[in-house]
Amino acid sequence: MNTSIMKASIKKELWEFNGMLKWVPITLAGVFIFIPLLAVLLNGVNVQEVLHEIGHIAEELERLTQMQQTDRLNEIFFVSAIALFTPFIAIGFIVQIYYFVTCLFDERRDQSVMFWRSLPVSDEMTIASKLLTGAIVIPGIFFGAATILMLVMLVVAVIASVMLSVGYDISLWSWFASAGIISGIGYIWLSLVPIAIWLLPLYSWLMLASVYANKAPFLWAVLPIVALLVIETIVVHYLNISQPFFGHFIADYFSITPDNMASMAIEQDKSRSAALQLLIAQIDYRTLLVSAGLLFSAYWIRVNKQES
Amino acid sequence: MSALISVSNVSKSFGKKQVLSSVNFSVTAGQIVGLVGPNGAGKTTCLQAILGLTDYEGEISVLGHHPRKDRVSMLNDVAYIADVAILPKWIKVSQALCYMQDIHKNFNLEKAKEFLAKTNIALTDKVKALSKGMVAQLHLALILAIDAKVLILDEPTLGLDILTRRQFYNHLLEDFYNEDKCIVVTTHQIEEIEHILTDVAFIQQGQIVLAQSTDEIKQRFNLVAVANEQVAQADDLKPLFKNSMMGLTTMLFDNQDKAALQSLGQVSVPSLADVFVGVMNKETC
Repeated sequence: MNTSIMKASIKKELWEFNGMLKWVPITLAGVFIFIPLLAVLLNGVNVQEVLHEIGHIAEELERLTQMQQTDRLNEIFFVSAIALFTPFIAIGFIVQIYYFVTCLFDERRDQSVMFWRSLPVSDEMTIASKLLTGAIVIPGIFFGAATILMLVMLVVAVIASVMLSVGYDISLWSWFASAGIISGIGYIWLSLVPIAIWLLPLYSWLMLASVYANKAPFLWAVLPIVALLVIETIVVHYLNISQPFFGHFIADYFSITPDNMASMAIEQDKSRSAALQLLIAQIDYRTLLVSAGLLFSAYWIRVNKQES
Repeated sequence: MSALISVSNVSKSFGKKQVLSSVNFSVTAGQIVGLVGPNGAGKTTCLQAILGLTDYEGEISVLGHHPRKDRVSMLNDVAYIADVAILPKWIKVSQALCYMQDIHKNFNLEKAKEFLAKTNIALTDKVKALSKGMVAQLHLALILAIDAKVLILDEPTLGLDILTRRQFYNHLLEDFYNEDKCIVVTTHQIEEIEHILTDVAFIQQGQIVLAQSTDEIKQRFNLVAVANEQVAQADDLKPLFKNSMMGLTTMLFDNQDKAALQSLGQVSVPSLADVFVGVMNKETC
């Protein structure tokens, strides 16, 4: 695969969705930064109370550090990081869905597909670059925005630590050293690829709907699944089968609940690797085969569909 | 001279509708071929088959490449402008140039910029902010900057005003064409490009009904202004087409003795549009 053409194709995708991919994460980060500031400005702040609260938290962290409970400190940081990343991942997921539904539809709607296909870029490369953009690059942008926000917060925390150590003789530097900040963020970033593989059937299905639909690609993405589930429910009901296979499989495959996570965390004794392990455990070779079939169908339709 | 494009027995149907039926023609270096036909004759389908954008029965070779199996390699040396304004609306001019440079090994960025400098198009403009004529100019700039050996144009000036149309074809000759390259163009405004065509192929209901050089066509066909009293005599020579207006009948003849035609009236060289109308209406005479 020609990497320079892949890079150019991904760059093209980012240009096309530039507004959304730039302003949504910036706005989200802005909300996290400015809403607390606005709350402080509007409600005022009791400096003594805040310092007391910070001092209390700092003492607790210092106590854990002194007791050398590195795992507990790591977990505190990791859970905080996950809490910060979650809104970015959730909003990023909505953006991903929108991207996949429109990525092969829009170029046919404005007929630019004829221009793109008149250039020496293969259809395989186009499908692969769109998949890579939607599955890795877009969530990467949102992960990046969350990481930058986290770094900003860490800078604020460092400034606060300096103030605490100078003014109140409370030192948090050893906590910073043992909180596993880099490895915690690293674990979150590591989940990018397992998430992409886990959700590959969904992405492939949306791409197929996008390349197939002449109108309303979102309906093409949703209605066949709904119809299948309804038909299966009726069949199960009339044939007295214990449970619907397809509906059950989908629900089982796409559900990662806090309970799953907790049980895995207990087994693993570490919440950081638990999340990663749980994602990897969800990946199923059958869904990978289905994804490959769906992607090939999307490719085949793009190659063979008459556009004018 | 070996053919840059060779089309042999190409057929294509959509369901029961036969769109192309045993189409044969070839294009060599230096030729500018007009593929001319009425709406629905199969021109676009024929061009799309040449570009590997649709499947077909038969044999097509473009620069030695199979258009379907070897499309990407082929498109390094083949450029194409379709009949609709197909540049994406969201793209900026600078982005289009950058993308072309990234993916096309034969793209000359400086040449494209030089061409654009002669127009009112700024590098920061978005396609959606450009007029239809400017979009055509931008597309032409992108295509002319490719050192392609084959250029395929499908109604490239559709919907443009006459000034832009003339500019378009002037640039095509000045900035792209040389004797090592070939151009295949479809258009409804045949009279506007008649002077640049070296060859024409008339296509009707998916079949090539005439494919010849413009020089041979001008030798072969004659237009005669026949006086009313000689119409019956002229009819005996089986004109391809006749048109009566204001007491004068104009008849188009194919391969008739020039001396015999001169006895019927004033003989002139028909335009390609006259020949096209005559060939397409042959059955009505």
